[in-house]
Amino acid sequence: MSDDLDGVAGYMQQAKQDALKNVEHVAEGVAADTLPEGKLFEVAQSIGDKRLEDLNVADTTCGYCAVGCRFDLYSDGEEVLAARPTAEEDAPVNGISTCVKGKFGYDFVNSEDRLTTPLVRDESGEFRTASWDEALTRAAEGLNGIRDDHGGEALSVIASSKATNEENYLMGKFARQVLGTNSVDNCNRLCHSSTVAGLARTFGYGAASVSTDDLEQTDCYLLTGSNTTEAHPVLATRIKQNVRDGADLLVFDPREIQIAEWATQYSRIQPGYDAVWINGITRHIIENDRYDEGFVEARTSGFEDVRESVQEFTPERVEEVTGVPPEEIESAAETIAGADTCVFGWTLGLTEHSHGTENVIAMANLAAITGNLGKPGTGVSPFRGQNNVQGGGGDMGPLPDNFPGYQDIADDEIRAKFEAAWDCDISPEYGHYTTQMFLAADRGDLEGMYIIGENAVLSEPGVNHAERILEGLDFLVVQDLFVTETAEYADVVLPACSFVEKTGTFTNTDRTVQMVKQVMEPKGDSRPDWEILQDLATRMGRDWNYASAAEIMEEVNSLTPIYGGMTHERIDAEGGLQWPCWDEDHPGTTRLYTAAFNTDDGLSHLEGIGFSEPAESPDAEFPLTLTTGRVLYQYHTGTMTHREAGIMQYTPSDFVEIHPETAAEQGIESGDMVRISSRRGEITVPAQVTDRVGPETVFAPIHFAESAVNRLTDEEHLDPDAATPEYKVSAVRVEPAATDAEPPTTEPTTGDDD
Amino acid sequence: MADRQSSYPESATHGARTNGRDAAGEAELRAALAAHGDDLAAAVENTDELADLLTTAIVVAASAEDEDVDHLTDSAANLVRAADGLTTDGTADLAEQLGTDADALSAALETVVDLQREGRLEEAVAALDVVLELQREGNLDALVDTAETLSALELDEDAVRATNTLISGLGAAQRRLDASDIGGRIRALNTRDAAVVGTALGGLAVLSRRVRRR
Repeated sequence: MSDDLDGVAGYMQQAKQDALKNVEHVAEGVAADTLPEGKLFEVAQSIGDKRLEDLNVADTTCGYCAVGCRFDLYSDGEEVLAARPTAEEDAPVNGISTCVKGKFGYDFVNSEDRLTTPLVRDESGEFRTASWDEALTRAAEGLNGIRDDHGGEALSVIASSKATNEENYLMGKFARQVLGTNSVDNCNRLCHSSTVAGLARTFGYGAASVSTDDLEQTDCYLLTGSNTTEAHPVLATRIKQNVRDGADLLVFDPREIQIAEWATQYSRIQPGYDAVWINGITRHIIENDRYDEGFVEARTSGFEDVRESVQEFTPERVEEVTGVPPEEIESAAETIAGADTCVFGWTLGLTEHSHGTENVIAMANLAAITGNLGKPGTGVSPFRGQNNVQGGGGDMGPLPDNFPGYQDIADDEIRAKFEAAWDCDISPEYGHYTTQMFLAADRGDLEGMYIIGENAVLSEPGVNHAERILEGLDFLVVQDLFVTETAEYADVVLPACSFVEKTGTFTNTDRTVQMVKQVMEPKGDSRPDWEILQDLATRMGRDWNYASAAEIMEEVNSLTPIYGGMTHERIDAEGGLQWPCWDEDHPGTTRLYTAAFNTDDGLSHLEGIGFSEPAESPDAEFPLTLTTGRVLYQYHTGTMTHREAGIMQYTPSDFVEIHPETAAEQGIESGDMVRISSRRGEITVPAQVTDRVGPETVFAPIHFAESAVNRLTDEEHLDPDAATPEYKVSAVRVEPAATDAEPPTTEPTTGDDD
Repeated sequence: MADRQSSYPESATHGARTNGRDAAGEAELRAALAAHGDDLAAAVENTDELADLLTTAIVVAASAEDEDVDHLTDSAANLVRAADGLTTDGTADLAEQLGTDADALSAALETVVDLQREGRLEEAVAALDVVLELQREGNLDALVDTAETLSALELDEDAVRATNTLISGLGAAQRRLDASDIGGRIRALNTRDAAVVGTALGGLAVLSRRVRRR
């Protein structure tokens, strides 16, 4: 509402609307009785079009998951009124489809507790409001102080995969140029960093090789660790449509999730042993000469290593370890080998393990030996979680080991390029990964953090540990839409704005870079992340002077070969471009590895993967395996969805799924409050008795601060290559809670994992 | 090092900005009532029907700009084309009634458009804001008629006349239409009537659009 409609006029707005409805009703009555329906439709269309002319309408990219749905958002300048399909050529991934969150989940933008003014601490340690000038000055002084006293390495930045590519580029630049640290990372560490590590090692790019078209035309899917219908609903629809038309669908998962209802074969697996059953399938294919000999010979190296390493994974051993019967391994292997084309899809069930990278390499081996790479309908397809974790979290290089475009900071030539462009010295030593930052702080190696759009308190493994670390930091700046649980520990809180309030680009799960367009002005004094970063950098002695996100992207183009031709102008005109896109004449890359892999010799580097197991196994004290995940109506730790009343009606609070046999042993029924304990903590949530999980497994969602399932998870045992935590396996005990325990009240929470 | 601090000033939030704006508006309203309340209380009758009519008048008065007029004209032309040739028997009397009322509406619209162009309607709109607020609060006992109310507020005579004409036209049309079985009787309109209905519908579209934008 504009200022000139305060008070009387504000009341009048409502009065006018009420009266107008009466008058319109009369007019509709007149029209309905005097004109034929066709003409009425024309009139209605004319009136509707005229009304829409007064709304802000922009085609933009969804800010929830990384499927990359595009649609038109309608706003009256105050709130998002509607999401409607945009022109089909501007929505290459989703067409006219969107999920419930993308269509309705915008109340968070106007939420009452949306932070619109900076906060600083007063003399007694309480938060008080501050001007931008004061808040930025304090932030600069705090960060400068640590840099001057302890060196830049004592500082770290956690970047935000919710933010745009341009903003993430600046987050990486800010860390290295302004703070002088390589310790910059983001939520990808908590999810698909093992995918990136595993695929980069075998194929060259840490990303999906497929495009959405491949997903729609393949003859076969092997899906694992992916609750596709709930976490990536629009992609799930594509898959279900193709399965309906005859494609085979193999689902391996500890939970009999909804997509399993469509499966040709569903196999329940014991969490934590994915490389075992994947190697079992690979073994069957090799032993029975069902592999693609021509592809293996022409386009891979390391096949013999794979052949040798899978020998131990006999059907009997696989069954013993994973619970998958021999006939199911054989059936899956024969289905894949017999299909003309196959896509291998996964989400965090494969990656969030202390050996996630090995799991991914095992899957990559399987794809390669069956020749399912580089051809239409084939490829590897990790479904990325957060809206811009592919681009912002990876491509833009807010990473401790890579510059934008996965350029290694240890490479002297590349580092020299960035040192020249950014006018600074950059250490060749890798910085800390996100998960390692908290361990480094525990050792006293890290004194300050700048956390942007992440709620580390909830999303990091081991909530109790994370809370203690943040409380002990010398200085903490948090930049977010809300005063998150993490911001509660901050010295300075800077109000940022959401994707509907700014312009830039997101990169989706199939490497498509798409435009994000502003549909309303930032709320209150909140500002886009890139503007905040620019002001802070300037106060800390660097002359940043970007006039727009497009200008930032031009700098990205000049330094990042795979984004070389990705100007805003082109992206907008062409409705999205897939990287690599080397220059302005390059059309982008729909499918990777059509001719060669991105390795020094152009071959896929296969690598034998031996036996691996979770860092923690069930025992007498903690006899069950907890695995965590998502539900359709929520998103990550609830930043956006907990503020949507309609969505909250569907999944208002946490719960734990328990198999009927397990529940019966404990005398637990659905709805009973139960206590889940691990070696790191305990939570109390209502039980949901279901055979969706196996008798030895329980499942809990990740979305709720009140129960904070990450109080149970392990912050210490990380993937050795990617430092991904093992969210998917924790040994726990489940028992009835006190009879007076009640479900936790869900308050809006914030932040994200991936 | 900063201890966890779960509370923070509400004034830092979007909610505080919105609520603060409401509070400021409330104060403004109270001031307006203090200035005008007594006179108005004696002159205004509290009825829902009048409230609707007053509001409609405000809507129309506040809505007319050149581009709206253009759109209104376009809509009328479209509807003329749409309705042309639909004449059937047995509807002449109602069409005539509708035409009469629509004429009044059209004339009123034209008048307020003129007044708006001349910048003479702001005062009327502001005054009617106060009237409606008083009515909403149930403080008005004697709203005799629109003309008296507007006269009490010392409005421009043209504005009073135009608004009253408009209100009368709308009110008559609404009452008559509500009382008639239109669907069973109307099969067509002649071109002139269609033009008038088109004008009215077009006007409504414009009004609705503008009001919702606010």
